Amino acid sequence: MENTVQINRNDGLKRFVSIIDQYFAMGGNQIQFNVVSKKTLLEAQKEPDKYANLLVRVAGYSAYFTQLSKDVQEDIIARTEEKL
Amino acid sequence: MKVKDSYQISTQPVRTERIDRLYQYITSSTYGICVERARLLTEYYREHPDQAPIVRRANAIDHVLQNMSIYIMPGSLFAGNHASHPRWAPLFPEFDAQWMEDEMIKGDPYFPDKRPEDRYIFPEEDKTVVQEICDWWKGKTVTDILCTRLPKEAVDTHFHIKAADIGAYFQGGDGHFAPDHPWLIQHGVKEIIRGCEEGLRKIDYKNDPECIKKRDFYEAAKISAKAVIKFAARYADLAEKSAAKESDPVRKTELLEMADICRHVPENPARNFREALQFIILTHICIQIEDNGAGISFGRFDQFMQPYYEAGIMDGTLTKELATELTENFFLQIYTCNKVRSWGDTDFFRGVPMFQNLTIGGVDPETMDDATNDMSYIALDATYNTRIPQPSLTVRFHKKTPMEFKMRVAEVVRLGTGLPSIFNDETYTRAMMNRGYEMKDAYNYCIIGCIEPGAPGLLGGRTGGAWLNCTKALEMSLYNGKDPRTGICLHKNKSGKTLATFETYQEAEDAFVDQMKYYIKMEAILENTIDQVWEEMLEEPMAAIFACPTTTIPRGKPIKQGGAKYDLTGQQTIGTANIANSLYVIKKLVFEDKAVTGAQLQHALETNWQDEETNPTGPQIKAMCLAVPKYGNDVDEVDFIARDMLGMIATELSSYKNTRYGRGPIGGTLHCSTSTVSSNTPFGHVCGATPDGRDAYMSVADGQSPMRGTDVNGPTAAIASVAKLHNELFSCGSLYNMKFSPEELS
Repeated sequence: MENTVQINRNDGLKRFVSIIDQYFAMGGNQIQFNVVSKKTLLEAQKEPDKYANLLVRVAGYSAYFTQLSKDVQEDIIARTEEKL
Repeated sequence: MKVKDSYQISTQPVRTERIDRLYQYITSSTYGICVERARLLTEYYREHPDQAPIVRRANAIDHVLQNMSIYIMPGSLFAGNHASHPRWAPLFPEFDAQWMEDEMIKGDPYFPDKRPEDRYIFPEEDKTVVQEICDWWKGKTVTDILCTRLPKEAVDTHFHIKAADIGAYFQGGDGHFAPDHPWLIQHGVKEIIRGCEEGLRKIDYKNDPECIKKRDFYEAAKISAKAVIKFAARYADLAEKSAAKESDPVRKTELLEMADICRHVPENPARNFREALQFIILTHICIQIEDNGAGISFGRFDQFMQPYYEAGIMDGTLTKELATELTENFFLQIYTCNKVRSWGDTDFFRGVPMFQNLTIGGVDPETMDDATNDMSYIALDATYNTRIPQPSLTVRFHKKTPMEFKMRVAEVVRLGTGLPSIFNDETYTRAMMNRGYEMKDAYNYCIIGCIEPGAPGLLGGRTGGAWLNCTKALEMSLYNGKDPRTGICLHKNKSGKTLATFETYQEAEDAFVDQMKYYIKMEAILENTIDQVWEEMLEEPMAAIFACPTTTIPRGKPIKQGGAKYDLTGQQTIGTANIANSLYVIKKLVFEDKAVTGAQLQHALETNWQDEETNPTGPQIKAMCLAVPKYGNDVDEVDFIARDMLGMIATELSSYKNTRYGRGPIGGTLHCSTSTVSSNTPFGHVCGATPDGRDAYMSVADGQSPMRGTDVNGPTAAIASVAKLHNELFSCGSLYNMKFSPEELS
């Protein structure tokens, strides 16, 4: 422990997997994720043509962000960006 | 654009030339409306008024399949199209023709190509055809009949108050099942025809009071089975014709192979990997053409494809690369399916979802060991490389899921397409067994539609149903049962009180529970009236023989007469976070801290927090409401309200029987899910300000997620809250959305 602060490029992914494991161990049923920065979503709102292929999770399905109504876009933008 | 803003934007997929070309071809096609199905179906119905409803329907769909335009996409190794162009949507006037006339002819509220979003090309020359179709169906559609048959209370609930909305099933058809693909590809459709002929021979005309119904069913089922075989033969002919004109020898061979395959499947069992996929595409598309239901699932894809994969590797006809390309081609092929809804209903289905779910991972129900296999990884790769929203990929996790697989799932999630979603075998199977599933069937579950579990090939009914607007029920409980937006009052509080006059927190909670139960009853009336009308008018032979061939055919019954092993009516419960947070604000601010009176809070809600003249002012009261702890932060006081209220709703829902109860299937009730689609937006539009600090008409919370932006104590606290709910009661599935910044997953 004293000798290394290893930079492992999968540390974030491992923490992510352990959050799912923890949630399921507690009795959680289901989980799904958006992995996108607010910055990207705001840029996509401004320049929809450039981001035409950007997929996001709405609810039990994914859709092209720029094709969603403003209300649904705002809903996704306003969701809490969690930190691991 | 840096990787940490979006992996999806910053990384390039690895695709073969074929796959890349297909991707470009399909995604360059704009959404459009295809009138062929509606025209052909109407033609048949108009000319054949005298047949039994189920036989007439089978023949009408056969007429569509034999006469609609077919095409083969450039470079595709598979045949099968849903409408005249990729991502064009057929029309289903037998369910509802009024919206077609309003929108396509009158442009009310918009012409399809002038919609603000979810626009569809609609060729000008098709207007006359649509007008003729609408004229013929006037007064005869499912919606026309439902509007007559539904009690006024249920009509008000659906159309006006919007405490429940079931528009998708006015316009739709069930959808929402997982065909028995493993059985079908192993037996071929000819086995269905054989089963029907045997059934016809065995009908006991002396003693069986259902003998005539059975005869009609078998006749219709045979017509539908043969229709699919003839549909496949049309592609075989087309492939041969295209091959004759093809100058590229490689493509020529591919087309000739396609012709051979389409002459063989789906009539006969699939002989190899490619044939199995072609089989599934053809049956899937025929199901999609039969009705306007969504959510046709592919079941446990990795489990039933693995034997074909292994056989191909063993005999040298397949490599991992080829299997991946074929799987990606399959994904793109089914991505061409599309369905259009009325503008009003589109609010609930933003972003043209089709819910064609495909499940991988989980356990083997026989051995209870981990079932992850080569095809699980190939399906993940195909999702990673195609980067299209369909199929909706689902992964089952359990205690023995290998870490390597979980890490690959995490990499695909990190891409940010929202796929796959992840399910917990331990809780999902318990929830299913609580509704009567046998253990081996529960552990063989797949996901149907969004997040709903079902045993593939064994579940009838539908996993989708009405959206239940719990926030609306809560709001009305604060106004003695009156809807403040419309002024309609269908059901007064038992106490006759309002938020201003409740004397204890318990009175507020009791009023909510009472309103909620009343609107659950309204939902059950809506669900069961629709099912009753369908059973009388629109029994669906194609869905019956592909959804549950091992029960419908021996029983001689379609789904709506009780043909499935399991039959449950699903639904979607919306607004958990809003009701829990609102009730907790009432409890804490009004009755515990006495920071505001019920009358002050009610006035603030009625004025949408705008009244500056009161003391405290509207904005001050809103700030106080927002400051009360919210569901999603591991605070027991509010989380337990969410647990108990959602538990109450789930229990109440499953106390209502559906129209198949006692007619053969296990189950036979409604049951609860927390799936949302995009209903939280339109439901928000009809709900005034709520005590959780939400502004009037703003979207309510999605699924059983915390209200957006109110989970502020990190992911561990958020998952703790969501896991506290009675998840084992949500046998129709759970939905929880979480968002991460990409840099967190690096």
